[in-house]
Amino acid sequence: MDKTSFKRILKFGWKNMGRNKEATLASIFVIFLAVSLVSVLFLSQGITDHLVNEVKEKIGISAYFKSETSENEINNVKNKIKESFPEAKIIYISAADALEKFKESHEGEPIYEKALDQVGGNPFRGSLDISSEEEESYEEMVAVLEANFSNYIYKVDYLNRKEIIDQVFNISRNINIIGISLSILLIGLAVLISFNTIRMVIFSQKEEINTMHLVGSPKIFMNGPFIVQGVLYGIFSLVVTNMILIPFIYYISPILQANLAGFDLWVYLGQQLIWYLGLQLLVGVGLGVAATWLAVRHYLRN
Amino acid sequence: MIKFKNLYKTFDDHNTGLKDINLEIKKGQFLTIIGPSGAGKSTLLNIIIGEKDYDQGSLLFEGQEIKEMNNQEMARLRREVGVVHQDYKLLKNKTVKENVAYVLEVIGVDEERINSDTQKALRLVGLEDRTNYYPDQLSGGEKQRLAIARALIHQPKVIFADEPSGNLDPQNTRNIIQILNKIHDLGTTIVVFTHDKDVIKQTPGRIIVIRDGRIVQDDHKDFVF
Repeated sequence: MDKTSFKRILKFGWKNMGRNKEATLASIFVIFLAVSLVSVLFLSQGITDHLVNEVKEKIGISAYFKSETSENEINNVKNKIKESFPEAKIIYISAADALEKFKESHEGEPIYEKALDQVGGNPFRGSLDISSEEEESYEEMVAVLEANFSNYIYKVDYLNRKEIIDQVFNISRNINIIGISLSILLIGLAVLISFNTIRMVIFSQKEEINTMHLVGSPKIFMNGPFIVQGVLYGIFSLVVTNMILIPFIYYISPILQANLAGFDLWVYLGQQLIWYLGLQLLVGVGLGVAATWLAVRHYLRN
Repeated sequence: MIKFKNLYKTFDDHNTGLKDINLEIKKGQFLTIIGPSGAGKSTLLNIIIGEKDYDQGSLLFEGQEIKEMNNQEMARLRREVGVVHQDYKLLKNKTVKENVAYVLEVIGVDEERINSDTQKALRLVGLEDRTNYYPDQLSGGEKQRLAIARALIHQPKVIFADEPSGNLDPQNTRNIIQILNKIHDLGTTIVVFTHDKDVIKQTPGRIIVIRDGRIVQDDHKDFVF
């Protein structure tokens, strides 16, 4: 296709869109709904992931070290674990820190202060708090700790927590499955509605397509302008979606942050902007182009 | 230019098709094909422009069998002929000027020539003051004239006019036939399909009468239905 033909196809598509205002608005509206839905599901996935990770971080195992183990030795164990399990989050809590934490959390409770006095000195041990996003890592970590560092380790608190770890991971898996299924269902519905609306719009221009055919128009001049229309529908719906959604996210972000374990939706949007816009472009333009192309192809074939 | 040889067309619903059509349309002719409704005139036109297939026989356009043309060749044929349809078949979303220019735009003609040829064609049919109107804003006669302007803009070898008087009053019909005569004088082959006896009083040249799918008279102006 030469440059002149390409420019003419763009011109026909643009003019056709402007001259069928009602059909254009209907098409942009349905694609806008689909793009908005996908965007909201994308952001919801971010919120869900954050909340699930927050819970996952709260669980985990603790390895308590024998009193005589030095801080260097504990750090050495920490480094070795980190080498084998790079995804794991490991926090070293010294005996002094543990005591301080205990005192802080039981401040103003004489019974605990008395108990500490009676025991005398620092009854706490240095420990490593280990959390991982991968459920199966826990058992492997315990095995590594027990096999290689049993000289230093007093106790690994795993069996007590195994049940809760399993439950949290099960819930997380179920949330993902439900989320993905719901997203597929809703996106499927949105796609179907958009497809049918655009097909109806093209149907109203069936006579036009037939006339182009009768005057010997090459195929590219028959379906090209409609595909251009599809692209423009997608771009316009993307713009409309973001004109509504972005200020809304900006407004709602501090409220969510206060109520959703510190999740900053605005920052998340900034971090995921390329994916967010890419997904919108894929859904908006993809839907517009696919629906118009399939509808026009149907009429050209008949 | 166009040659029918023993051409047959039948329809599944037993509607009149075409029976043993033998006809040659020569370059530069003004041919009027007349017959009552249902005689097979539209079928004949639709077969020539590849809208309908034929069952037997042969139809050659400039030596090439129409049945054997692929989609691209058929599109090219449609660009080499001009058709004025009974129901005009105008592009409703395009203005008068754009409807006429469209045929040139899709074959890659440059803007300058498109503008000058479009103006000439619209002047020839008397629509130069309606360039920015949409088809729905035109009267029946104006729509017919627009359809003619579109049919002639690319200087086709032949123009087919299907029932050019179909929706028009006698005055408008006379105007349309005058325009077709003018185009014929410029060297274009014209084929008019009509059921209107008044039309043939105004058309020059050869006349063919078609009835029940058969050619019953050829080159005979003095006929009775």
